Amino acid sequence: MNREYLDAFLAESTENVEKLEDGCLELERQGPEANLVAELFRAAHTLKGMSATMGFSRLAELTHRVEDVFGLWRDHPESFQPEQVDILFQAIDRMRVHLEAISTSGSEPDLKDDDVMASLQTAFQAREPLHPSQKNGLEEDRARYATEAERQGKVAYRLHIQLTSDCMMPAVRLAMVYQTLKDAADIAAAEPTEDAVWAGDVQTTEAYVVVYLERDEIERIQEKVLDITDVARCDAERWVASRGSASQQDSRGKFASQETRSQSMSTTPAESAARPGSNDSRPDRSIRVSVRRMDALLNTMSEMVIAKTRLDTIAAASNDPALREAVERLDRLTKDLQDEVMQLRMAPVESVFHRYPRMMRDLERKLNREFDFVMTGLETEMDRIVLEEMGEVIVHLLRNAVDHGLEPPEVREQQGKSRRGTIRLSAYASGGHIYIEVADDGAGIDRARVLQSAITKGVITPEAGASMSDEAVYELLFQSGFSTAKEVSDISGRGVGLDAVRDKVESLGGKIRIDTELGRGTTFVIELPLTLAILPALLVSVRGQTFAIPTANVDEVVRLREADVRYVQNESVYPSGDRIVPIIDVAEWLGLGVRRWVFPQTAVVCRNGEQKFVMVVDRVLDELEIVNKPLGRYLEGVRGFSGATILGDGKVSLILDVRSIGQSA
Amino acid sequence: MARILVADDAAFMRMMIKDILVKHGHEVVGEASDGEQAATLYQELHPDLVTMDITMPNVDGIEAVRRIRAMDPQARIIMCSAMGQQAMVLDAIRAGAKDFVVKPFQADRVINAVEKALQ
Repeated sequence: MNREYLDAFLAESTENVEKLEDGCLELERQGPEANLVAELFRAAHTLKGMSATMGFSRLAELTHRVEDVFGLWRDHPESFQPEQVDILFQAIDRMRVHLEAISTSGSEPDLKDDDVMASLQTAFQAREPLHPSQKNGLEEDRARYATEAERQGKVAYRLHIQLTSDCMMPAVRLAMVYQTLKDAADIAAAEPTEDAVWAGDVQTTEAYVVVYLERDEIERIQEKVLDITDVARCDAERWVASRGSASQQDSRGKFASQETRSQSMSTTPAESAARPGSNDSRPDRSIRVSVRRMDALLNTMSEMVIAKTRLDTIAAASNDPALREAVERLDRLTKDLQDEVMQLRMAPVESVFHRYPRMMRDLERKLNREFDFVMTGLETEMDRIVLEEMGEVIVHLLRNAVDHGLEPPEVREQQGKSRRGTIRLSAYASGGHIYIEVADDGAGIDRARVLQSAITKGVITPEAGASMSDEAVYELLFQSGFSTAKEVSDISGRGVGLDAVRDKVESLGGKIRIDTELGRGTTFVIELPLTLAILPALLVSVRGQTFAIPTANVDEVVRLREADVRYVQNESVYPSGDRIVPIIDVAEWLGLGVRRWVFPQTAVVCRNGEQKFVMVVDRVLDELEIVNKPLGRYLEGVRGFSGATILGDGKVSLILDVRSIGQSA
Repeated sequence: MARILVADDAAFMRMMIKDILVKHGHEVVGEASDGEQAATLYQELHPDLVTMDITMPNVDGIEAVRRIRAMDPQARIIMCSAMGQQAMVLDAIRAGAKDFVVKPFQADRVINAVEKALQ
């Protein structure tokens, strides 16, 4: 199998499976709305066609059955029962299994889908046998129409007409469409039929018409049709009599035969783009790029920033004005380029969030909870890699919210709360950070229970517990092996705990905190850096070595006077604002030796969340953007450093990990 | 800017349509309160366009469309329909009406239909 075809097939099929999944969720909410069902039908139809073209007959058979279901709902919306959607989800899951197997092995897996097929069969038995062949856009007679048109010396087009979803009296609009077509062409076939339309006997907002034209003036005809009020789309596909095989009859999209010319026209691109699942007329066109190439580009970009910084140093040392000017210009261009490349790395959170509604729906059933799942800020963009890493963390927090956050519906009612809870997943950008919040309106976290559990486990003493602030108590939840859940359920118990959540967030340079109110609900707030690769940093010199401190962790640079330094239990402290913060001599901390401070002594006030301390250094050298490089495996466990960077002069400088240094204070 | 004849048995509806049309720069050259009057006024005034209610006493809107189109096959008529009158709107389209709008009227829909019919 040609890998290129296979990749295209997989990409497009996955998209269509996602469309099916999103659409089915929508179906559950709003029932078999005509446009939605039509869209689902098309997605299934496209999948079927592509699978058949690729020779994946089992997948084709499965999608064919699913297509039948949508065909049924399209023609008999009254037969729709919400429970039936469950079976579709099973079928969709099976499609994914197929696609994954095809993706790994390149060939069709030996899967028996009898179970799913049987479920489909049973659930839709009432209407069996289906006659979908009459309802697939006249495709099955494609060859016949094409040949007939050719015989008459005309050209055949299959038009697909779509009315707006809020269209009143669609039958009248379709009648007007047919009338307009008749003025300009012969109508060879129509679905729904002309008679049905004129009798007002149709509810659909979609029609397929095969027309024969004397001359190929399809665009003029499309324009006329589009000029009719409430016509949203009029797509034309030229049908040419196929020579030899009939195997291309069911091909579309990327797999369309070369003889098929597709022309799409739409009156209102904004409107059709706004419809869920419709991506035919997005204003911005996009291309697929492999993540590997993106990373390579980014890496080269990082190296270039390093080289440029080095050039900056050389230019600064020279007296050549021309060189300086050239470097300045290069500086600006590099910045622009860097912004662009960074932008490429950004992805809307939706690309990861879109799979959650389905998961939440499953959880809702499995755990017998009732809630609305609301997502906001889907367009928020963040670093693709950070986003992908966050996927699992969010899954965990969402599961937690359903399993431990929300009370069962009966309990909620007893407590005078609404039976249905709300779980909210939101993303937004603010002040150089991206925030992700997972909020529930459930029971909230019980301070007493957390303390009790911590005391039982010997994490803290009862005395210490009594004086702990609420924040400190909630902080306990993030400690390894700590869980207040009475039993490990198969939902939240899977995989990671809150300690792993925090580790992941912090490894990405982020922070997590809990806001909770007993009886009112809990919100997990995750703060993440906009990007990982390049960060502004303060360069400091300590015992002749250069270290970088991320500017995000720097509050201010101070010059300590002798009078500023106080001693509490033999430890030096410094009054900063209304707080007394510890002083850490980084040279000592790093084991570079002890020395006397020379007042006024240069120091950096560092901050990590609520934690604050003063780091004594020798000198502050510069503030600049550095490229963050991971330390590699064998230095991973070393405390105090979060990464390394290469400076303009080619020397390596370690990036200080303010969090781990501060924790020792 | 077109000369328009408004046919509707309810004075209130005529006023509404007239307001919409005038606000968008059109001129209402006549008002008819039934289908018979509409046909007579059409012959007298030769308007560029007619807005035609469906349910009217004496001669209804559909019959009026037939009569007017018999006099002038180029006549441009837009039907004004209530919801649930689909069968009648279909009859009117078959009789030669160019378009329809559904009550309650939205100004932009009315104007849109008028402008399309005038093209």
